[in-house]
Amino acid sequence: MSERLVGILLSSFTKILIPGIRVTIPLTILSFLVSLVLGLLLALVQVTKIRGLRQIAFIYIWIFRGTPLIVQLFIIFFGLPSLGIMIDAFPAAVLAFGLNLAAYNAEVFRSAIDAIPVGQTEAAYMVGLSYPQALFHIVLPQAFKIAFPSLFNNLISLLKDTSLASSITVVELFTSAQQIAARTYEPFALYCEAALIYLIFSTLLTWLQTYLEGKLVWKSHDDKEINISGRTKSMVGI
Amino acid sequence: MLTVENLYKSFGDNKVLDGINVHVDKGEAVAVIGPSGSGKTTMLRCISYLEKADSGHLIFGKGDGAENYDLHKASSAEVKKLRRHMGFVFQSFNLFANKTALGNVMEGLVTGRHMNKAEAADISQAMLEKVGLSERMGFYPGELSGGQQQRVAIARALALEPDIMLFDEPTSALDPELTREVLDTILGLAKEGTTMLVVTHEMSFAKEAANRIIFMEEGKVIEEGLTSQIFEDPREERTREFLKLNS
Ligand SMILES: Nc1ncnc2c1ncn2[C@@H]1O[C@H](COP(=O)(O)OP(=O)(O)OP(=O)(O)O)[C@@H](O)[C@H]1O
Ligand SMILES: [Mg+2]
Repeated sequence: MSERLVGILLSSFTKILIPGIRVTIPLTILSFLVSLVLGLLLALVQVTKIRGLRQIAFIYIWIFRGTPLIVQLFIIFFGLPSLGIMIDAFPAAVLAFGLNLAAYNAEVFRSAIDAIPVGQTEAAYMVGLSYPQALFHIVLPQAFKIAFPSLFNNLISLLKDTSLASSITVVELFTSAQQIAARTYEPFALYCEAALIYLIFSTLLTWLQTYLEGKLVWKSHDDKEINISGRTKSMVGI
Repeated sequence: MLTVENLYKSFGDNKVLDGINVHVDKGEAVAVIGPSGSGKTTMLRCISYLEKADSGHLIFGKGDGAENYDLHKASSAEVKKLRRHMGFVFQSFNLFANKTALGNVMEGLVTGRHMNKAEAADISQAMLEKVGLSERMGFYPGELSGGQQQRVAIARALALEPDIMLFDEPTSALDPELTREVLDTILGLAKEGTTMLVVTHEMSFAKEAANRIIFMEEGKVIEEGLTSQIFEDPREERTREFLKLNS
């Protein structure tokens, strides 16, 4: 490897890493939060069988899963202004990624909720819980634990997909690599460097997932009593 | 105390309950026996409104204070009130997998009845002691044997001080060596005078625990009577045949 190339790689590393930390990561986190909240709502209106809303959820998921993410991104950023709705590039990206992933997370939540035996909900009714209480105290905590690995998978996909935001002028990790590649005429080295930084981020996320899965223990009403009955499992978590 | 009148229920064109009338007095233990598919589970589920009957009434109490529930169209407030009278023990336990044994028993008190946690914990511990599980309070359902899980489920129902306990084949999902501990627990309750309606396949248990027996077949009550009468001198031929096959 030439000395020039090593120099470029070294000096560009932080130039790519910093927008990665400042832009790619917040973009990933914000979009993921949008997708979690909306995904859960979409799943809930489906499992609770609220008529009307249920059809809307179905259509929503059908559209957002059935069309390319980049097309959705372009519609929001380039298309909406012609209807008089102007959104800056960063919020447009958050919106597009969040709305898109919500459709996938809705399916993850829905199948996790379906996996909880209905007998537990019936038992909850028989001890005087209402449907929302059964949902929030019994079903969702269990469903969340089941959904967790798939949600995390989607988070890691999202991290990589945020590179598409480069196409709507968001200066994130990949955009920075593109700019430097264009300036230095070293596309191979620069894009490999960008790949390496994505790989570092996603590896960190995988570690985080393993760590959090270990922490995912049920919270019962009896956190204090746990010692008297001789169990030592830590009671943090959901 | 509890009277069920003219209970009908079909699934499609399968007539599962065909005009059931059942009565349980305060302090009585009534066993429901009958062949598989005769509608015993469905009856308990209609009584507790887990299943909506096609028609039928449930009367709770006696005289002026009696509550009358339409088992086809009760409002959600009525359903809540109706269920407050009942404890339900399922064949498959249905413990809350995300709660410890103690958490399972506390759930109805804390979330359903808004009792403070300390008081609920006291009551729940006492109930778990009663079913012989004081050593297992902090265990999750997945860490308990089937027999222990079912005893937690019994404690969970008892903690709410129901007027009547409904049991749906509480031991049929258990290995034979685990049924005894559960049956003994229920037998103990019967001896204390707990009002109960128990669907069971265990004839010797029915003989021992029940004051009265109801024999069901094809969605109908074929015969009912005192335990000794049913076992020693059944009036109906079908009852006699069933008992011959199941003893
Ligand atoms: N949810 C349902 N949908 C359709 N058919 C049902 C449903 N639940 C029960 N059935 C039918 O109703 C009939 C009575 O079932 P039920 O479970 O009440 O019988 P059972 O007396 O409890 O039998 P077992 O002793 O085997 O538990 C059966 O033919 C069953 O197939
Ligand atoms: Mg049954």
